[in-house]
Amino acid sequence: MKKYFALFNVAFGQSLSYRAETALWIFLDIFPIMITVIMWVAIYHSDSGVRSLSLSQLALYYLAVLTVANLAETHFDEKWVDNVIHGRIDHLLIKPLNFILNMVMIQLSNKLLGFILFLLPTGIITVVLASNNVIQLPGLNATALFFFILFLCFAFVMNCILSSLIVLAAFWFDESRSLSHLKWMMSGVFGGGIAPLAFYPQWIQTIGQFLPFSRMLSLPATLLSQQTVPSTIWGDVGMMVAFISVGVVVLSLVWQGAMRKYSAVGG
Amino acid sequence: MKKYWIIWREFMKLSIQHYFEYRVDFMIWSVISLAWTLFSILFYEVVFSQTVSIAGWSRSETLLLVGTYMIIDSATWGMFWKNIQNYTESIYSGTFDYLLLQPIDVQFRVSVRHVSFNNFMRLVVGIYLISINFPAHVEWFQIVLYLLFIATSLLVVYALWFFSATFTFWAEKLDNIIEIVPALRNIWSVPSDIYAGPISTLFTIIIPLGLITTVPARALIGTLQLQETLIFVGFAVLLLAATRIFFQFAVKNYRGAGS
Repeated sequence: MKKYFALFNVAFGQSLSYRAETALWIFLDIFPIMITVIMWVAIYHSDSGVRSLSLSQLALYYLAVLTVANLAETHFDEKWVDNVIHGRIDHLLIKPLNFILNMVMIQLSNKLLGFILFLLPTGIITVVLASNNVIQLPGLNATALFFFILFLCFAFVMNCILSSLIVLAAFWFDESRSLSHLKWMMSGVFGGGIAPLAFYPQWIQTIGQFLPFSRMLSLPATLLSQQTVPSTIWGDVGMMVAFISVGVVVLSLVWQGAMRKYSAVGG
Repeated sequence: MKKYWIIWREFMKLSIQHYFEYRVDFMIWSVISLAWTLFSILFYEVVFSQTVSIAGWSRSETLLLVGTYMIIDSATWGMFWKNIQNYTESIYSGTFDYLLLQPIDVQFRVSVRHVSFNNFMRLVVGIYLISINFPAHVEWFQIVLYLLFIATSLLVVYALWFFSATFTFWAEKLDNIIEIVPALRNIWSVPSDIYAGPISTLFTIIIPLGLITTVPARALIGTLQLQETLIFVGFAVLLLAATRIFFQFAVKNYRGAGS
């Protein structure tokens, strides 16, 4: 474990040298969600006869989605797919480090800096929205916070598994980065990234029940924004444990296949 | 002028040849583009399952605007993305030196080298959305204005992208500088009427990016506003001029040591 901690420290140092880039990513992530919130504010102000959620609940939901995405979503697949395709991984394969844990630790260090930089603009937005009575912040509930943190961890692990599978797909398939787009779309539709799941057609909600995405994004976002725990929470915990267990087994099998497939001639 | 036309035609030919060479890539990215396009439409379907209008825009008017956005978006990604990406990379890697040596305007050279057809399906869906939401009574001059404003919008997006990318001459370790415009396009993916108060002043008067899709859509719907249109066209002219001046200033201050 010590060597992975050392790796984390080195990666965090490198992230610090690219802090401007990280800060810009945060702005670029926040911006689209803010436009969506502005649009919903305009809808709620011009049309009062709709919806199952109040404007405050909806705006809080989007802020919570932003927070969960910032903490739990992983993007290392884009860079590592290139590394695999161009053979820039030979040096890693001969080191006494697990290839996948290596990617995860680097991502974790980026997440830490990203979250520190994320707090300030999101805090300002929250204060501005609260002071303009767009949102009413709920009281904190310890049980909801516990489950929020638990599902955040689940989401991070599941995202790491999915991103790693996309990276490993590059051992067979040149355009595996197109799978990243598929992951984002699935998360947007079935995870409730573009709107709360309650707004979706029933058939999408039904399909979503059998996929991990809503428990990786919508559920933790709802726990954070509403501070209430749904009665089905233990069932959701069980489903996430099952998804992660299956994901780990599949990842391990794909990794073994990838190592059999890979060949390189220096670097 | 003729020289530039011939060069552009050659670049076009090379881009088309590239797509014939990498047909599977083209097909995969076309599917991805189509999926993202359907994803955007799903978002508006979700919105209209909750309301009957967005800031005074009816469902068919909004979908006409979304179709217009898709046309502008597919054209900007197709014509500018790869070129802007190569432009910033050439500055980081030092290969920009070679471009300066060529007997051709450098801005033209870096702006038109590649054309991508990956977003062709987005264009098709955009045109389809417009056709099924086409207003009942449209005069011929509205269509002419619509096309002119789309061209103006493309120039605005190009200038904005090129302007922000030119900061690469000074900004080391900021690889994602070219991602600013893709994030900003959310501003013009919605009707400008959703903006209120200071945000409206910012996005429709000071930096009127909110008008990029709204003005062409209004031309077709027949609700064009003179003040808004003048601001939009004036902004386009100023931004293009500012981009040119800024680029020349950047090149003047550029120091390369070969590569």
